[in-house]
Amino acid sequence: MTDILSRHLPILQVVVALLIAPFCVVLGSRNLARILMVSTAVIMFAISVMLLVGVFNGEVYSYQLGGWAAPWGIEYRVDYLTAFVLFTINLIHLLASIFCLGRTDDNIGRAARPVFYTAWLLCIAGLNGMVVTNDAFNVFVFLEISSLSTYVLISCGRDPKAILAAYRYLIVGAVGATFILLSIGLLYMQTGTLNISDLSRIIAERGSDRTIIMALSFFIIGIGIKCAIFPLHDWLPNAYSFAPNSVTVLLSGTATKVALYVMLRFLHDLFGANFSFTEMPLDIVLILCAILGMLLAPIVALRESNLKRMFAWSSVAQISYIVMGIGIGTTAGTAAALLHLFNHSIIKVAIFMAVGIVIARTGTARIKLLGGVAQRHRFACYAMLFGGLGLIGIPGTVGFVSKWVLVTAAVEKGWWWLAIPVLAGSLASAAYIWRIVETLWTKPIATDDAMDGGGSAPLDAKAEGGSADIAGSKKSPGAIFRERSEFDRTRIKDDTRKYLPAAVDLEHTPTTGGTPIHIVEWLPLMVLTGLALWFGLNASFTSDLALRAAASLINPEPMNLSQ
Amino acid sequence: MINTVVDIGLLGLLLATALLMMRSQSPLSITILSSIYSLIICALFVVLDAVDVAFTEAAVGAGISSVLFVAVIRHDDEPSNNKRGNNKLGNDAPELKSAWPSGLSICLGLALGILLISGTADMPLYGDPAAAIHHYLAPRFLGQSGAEIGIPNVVTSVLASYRGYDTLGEVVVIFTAGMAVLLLLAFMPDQKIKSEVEGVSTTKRRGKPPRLWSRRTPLIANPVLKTVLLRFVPIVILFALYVQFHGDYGPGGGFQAGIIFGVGLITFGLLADSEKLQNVISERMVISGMAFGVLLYGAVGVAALFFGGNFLDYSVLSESQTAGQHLGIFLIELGVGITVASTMLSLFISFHRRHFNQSQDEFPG
Repeated sequence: MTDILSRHLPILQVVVALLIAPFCVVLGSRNLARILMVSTAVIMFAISVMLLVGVFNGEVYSYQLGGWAAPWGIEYRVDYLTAFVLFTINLIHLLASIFCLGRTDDNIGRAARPVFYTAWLLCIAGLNGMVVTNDAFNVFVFLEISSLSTYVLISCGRDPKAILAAYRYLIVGAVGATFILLSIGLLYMQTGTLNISDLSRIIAERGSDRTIIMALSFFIIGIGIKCAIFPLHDWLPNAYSFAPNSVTVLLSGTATKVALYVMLRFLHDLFGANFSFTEMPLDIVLILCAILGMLLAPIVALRESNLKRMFAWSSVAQISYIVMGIGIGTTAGTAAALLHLFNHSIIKVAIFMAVGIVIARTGTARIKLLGGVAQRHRFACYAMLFGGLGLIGIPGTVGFVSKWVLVTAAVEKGWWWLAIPVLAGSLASAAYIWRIVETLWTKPIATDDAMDGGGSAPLDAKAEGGSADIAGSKKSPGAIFRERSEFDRTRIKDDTRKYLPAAVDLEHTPTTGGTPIHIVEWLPLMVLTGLALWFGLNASFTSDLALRAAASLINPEPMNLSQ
Repeated sequence: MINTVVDIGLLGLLLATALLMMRSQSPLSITILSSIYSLIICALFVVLDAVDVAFTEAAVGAGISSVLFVAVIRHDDEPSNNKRGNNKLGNDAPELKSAWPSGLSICLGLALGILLISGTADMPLYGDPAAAIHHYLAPRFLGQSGAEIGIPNVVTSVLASYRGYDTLGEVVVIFTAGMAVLLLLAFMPDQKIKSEVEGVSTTKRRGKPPRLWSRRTPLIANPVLKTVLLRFVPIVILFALYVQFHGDYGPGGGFQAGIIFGVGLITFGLLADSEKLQNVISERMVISGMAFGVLLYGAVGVAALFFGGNFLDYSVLSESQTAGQHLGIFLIELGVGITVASTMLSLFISFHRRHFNQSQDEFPG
């Protein structure tokens, strides 16, 4: 029995979520859908752990879908790298889906919840499918599944601008997907196969030509959009900041990371490192983009007035470190990239969870209005600070570990000057983290009067902004109203200290400032902070894993197929 | 010779249509032009011997997407939904502002075009027997699929069995699109908020909202259209069933059949009335249908696991390999058809309901 189970693990990793998703809609019950979603997340995480253990025991899983042998049928393949990325995204997904049960996204109505969970499950199924497959066209199919569901998940945000952000991402993302499809089409035309290992072999045998070069450039543009590599990052800040809080949490830890995995897989495995990095100057291109990203994105983040969007810009900067590792191209560089991929996932997801908790309870994401919040939401703010230290790369945090490995890899390759932008980028991130600390801890609680309505009678969200009487506020109500451009309506209402029934409705039901942080919110945040703390102090497990994963990509051992 | 002339003619028409679309300022004429564009593409697919793709392109590109575009334009054109309020009922749709793309996008487009053309230098010619694609996987598909799968249509064999998992993925893509439309149009908060804030639930309103698809009288009052409805729609639906079940032998299969089926019912909804359509097929049925198709497909895959094969290995489903393959392909094509048809209907119904609800809120009762 366990034998059979272990043989089918790669396919179960994807198909469980893929087939439970429709059930959520059919059953139509919010509670059943919740149970289904979380249990799916647990199962998927368990499968990814089993795959990781299996890989550690020396197995390379190869699964033939439909029973057809590889180049004719579709193959799933799990090696160290795959298992590592699967473990990362399913860990994040498990914690994100627990977080999603909390009260940070009350705007999504009860009736819509099952469909929302369906889209959520489809998204993660698509991402898992992209990782586990060894077939170029299959990557595209699952990219489509995950992208489509991502667009709609983003559009569920509280702010009406979320729809616009999702629409813009849809247009840009569709262009990216088209480039990837074109690239795969060209590769098929030149080689006659779609299996990645097979493509790699054939391209190495026949050598490159202009069509293959074009395929590579189209692929880089397409996947660059999906990864949000610096000049192609335009969709990311808007998408992250307007998406529902739990969706931002999910996406920041999984979507871009999977795209980066696909890039690594294609560059090293499919096109071959020799072609990508020696024949084509891709290392220079990637490192140039990375340097620009890690220097410019923090500057934009520093000027950003919205907390969530600030951290979204910081994601653009952090992705650059991963891209630099990929660009270095050696085993050590790739290991650094993978290590940062994991480390950045856990800290950024923790940060977005903390940000989500704060935003849901204060009703605003504007940094200006968040003065003194740390006194009220101590736990969330300290988690945010801890994550922020990781983003800077203070010694003792996970961020330090991966940046250290990255600089070591650069020096090993003789590119010691890469340490300069890494250091400068870290200093720039210190600036924006300090800005947060300054506001959240030391600023007076400037807007608390307005936020609480001074304890006076509840103010209806629908009351006209101009006529709303906000007791204890020195500013005119109209001015305050204009100030809170984004989540204003939620804030006016929150002066009660008790839960408002979710049935009241949808978009404008605020989670109040006094709402205690529910267990489903603090538990995943605590787990992530704990993991970040642990892996920051004791990095041997993660760096060993990353090194093995990188080695399995760059010097693949002779395969021992487990049938 | 004649082939070249046809190719150049069609491609020239395609280019001309694209340029006209860029120049046009009215959303309605852009919609019409884009449906013409789809029809030309469809003809090109026929020239390339991809008849089943041509089916789909004709039904989706020229059919359903045009209907949905027109719906959006009409919706915006309603005085109650039109913020500008300067469009009289029956006027043409509002005009767009700029007709030409900016210099940067022209440069980017040209650069991409040059890249694409330079990349063709090393491509094998179309139909070149020495091309790589004809020598690696294709011989087995062409030579052995008859014995291994046992159906004459090789395209269906590849799509449904050799690469059946990709097709499952494609069905899920369509299902995802259906879910997206549900989330965006059916549940989005504003319509509920609006009615609750005013303390009036939508159902209490008695006023008849303006129709989305036809203006004052249902189109069915027109004798020509009535004839179309009575004579033509049943044939379309019958044809859909033919395409569905004949997919093993000729061009066709679940995707094409589902879309043609959907087009038949949407035509019915357009001509008669959307409410009448919902009497025939309720929204709940449509949503369940979307999920059911995917689940049927997945269930075939899972059943294969229980019979001891790999996921989607149909051979184990029955005593002989070809019988199992036949059964599996039949079931998954059915699942594809159901999901595709339901999703198309769901698009149509969601658009209609969105319009209905919004207009009802704003329409004086």
